[in-house]
Amino acid sequence: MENDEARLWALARGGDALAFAAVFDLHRDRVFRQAVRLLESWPDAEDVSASAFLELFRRRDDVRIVNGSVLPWLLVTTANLARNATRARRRYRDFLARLPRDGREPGSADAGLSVVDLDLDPRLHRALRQLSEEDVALLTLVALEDFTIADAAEVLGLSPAGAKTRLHRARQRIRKTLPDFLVAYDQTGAP
Amino acid sequence: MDDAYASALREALIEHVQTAPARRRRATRRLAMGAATGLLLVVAGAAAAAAAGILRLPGSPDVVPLAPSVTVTGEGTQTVEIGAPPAGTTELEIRLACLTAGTFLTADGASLVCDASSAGAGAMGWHLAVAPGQHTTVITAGAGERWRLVATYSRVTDTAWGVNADGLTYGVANDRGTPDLVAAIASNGKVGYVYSRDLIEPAPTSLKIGAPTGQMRSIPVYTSDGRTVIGQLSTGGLPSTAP
Repeated sequence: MENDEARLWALARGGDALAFAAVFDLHRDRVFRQAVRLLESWPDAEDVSASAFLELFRRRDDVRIVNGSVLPWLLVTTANLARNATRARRRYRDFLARLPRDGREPGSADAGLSVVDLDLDPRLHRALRQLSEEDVALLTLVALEDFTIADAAEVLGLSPAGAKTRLHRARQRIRKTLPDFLVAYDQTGAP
Repeated sequence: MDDAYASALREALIEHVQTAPARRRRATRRLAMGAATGLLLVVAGAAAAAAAGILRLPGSPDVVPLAPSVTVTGEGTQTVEIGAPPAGTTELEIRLACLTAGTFLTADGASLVCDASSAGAGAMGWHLAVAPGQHTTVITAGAGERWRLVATYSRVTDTAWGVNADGLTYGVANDRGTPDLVAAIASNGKVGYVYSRDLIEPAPTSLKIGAPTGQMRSIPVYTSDGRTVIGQLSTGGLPSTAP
């Protein structure tokens, strides 16, 4: 799988549109889940997801590959874009304007949610908003997306020890606002 | 994201990559497939087909070698001496081939993966940025993994867009912006141009929630004169909802 993605990414990076589409197929659901988690508006989350993939192509020479995958980079980028959805939308205005808007909101029966296990607790939006961009990326990668601290540290350019300290502090801060949420994750065995 | 949005986004991304500045596409690229899936073989074929039509389009990069190529055979991770870049160098064009199975990485992380069946046959073309004062590049590979590198200092410049009889620019989008007529591949496979204004979705006609604004549209693909239609391009809508 990793090798397959590394090959796909090498082709995509070289400008192969179908390989890029295959990378999109691999990661679209988790990118969207990350966006929804950080934004309360469904259309905003779609725009930010689209922008994350456009950034993936625009910055293809700078993308950090972790364990053969672009996913950690995509999730970090999605978190950063979600912080400033307006700026993301401005950069890709023409592109985004071509995509369909059908007004469906999360939870509607036909919104295609079967593949996405969404974390839609509104309190989580508020709690994550208190954190810095980097801490949001770190926390979502490790606590919600099951990446190891080492992987998350690599994509963020942090040392594993530094990432661990930051993560600990971020979780302390979240725990104050949302005492039950991370406890639930702790009990399911997430790191 | 819902399936209709995802389908439209997928199509739009394909088009975006196809019509992007051809900076990456000039590198000839043939990855060792080994035990790769059918999907990857289709992908590789499509890349070759697209590259054949796209490479010479106005506005695409022009690559001029500035020094004789340096060929080095190596094993494992190695720093390769290439010499000082000639004046005017903008990039180091490389061709990396695997002589054994292994995973081979260039200095910027591009990877070539070869298994036993593709050893000696797998290769990829790539290009690397050249920093001031740079005279080496690193190939990363595992112990005992052997490779051959051909490296050439080159000058890469974007060519000019064409201008047709009506005074309209045509070619591929690049760092200078988007020409009036943007290179595109029609659904019949012909390479031509679409008006960049046609790619912009019309403004919604209703503000009613639930009213679709991204209707599937078919826009004409022309020759560079902007008048002769040679095909159609589907854009902006829900191309994959009817399986």
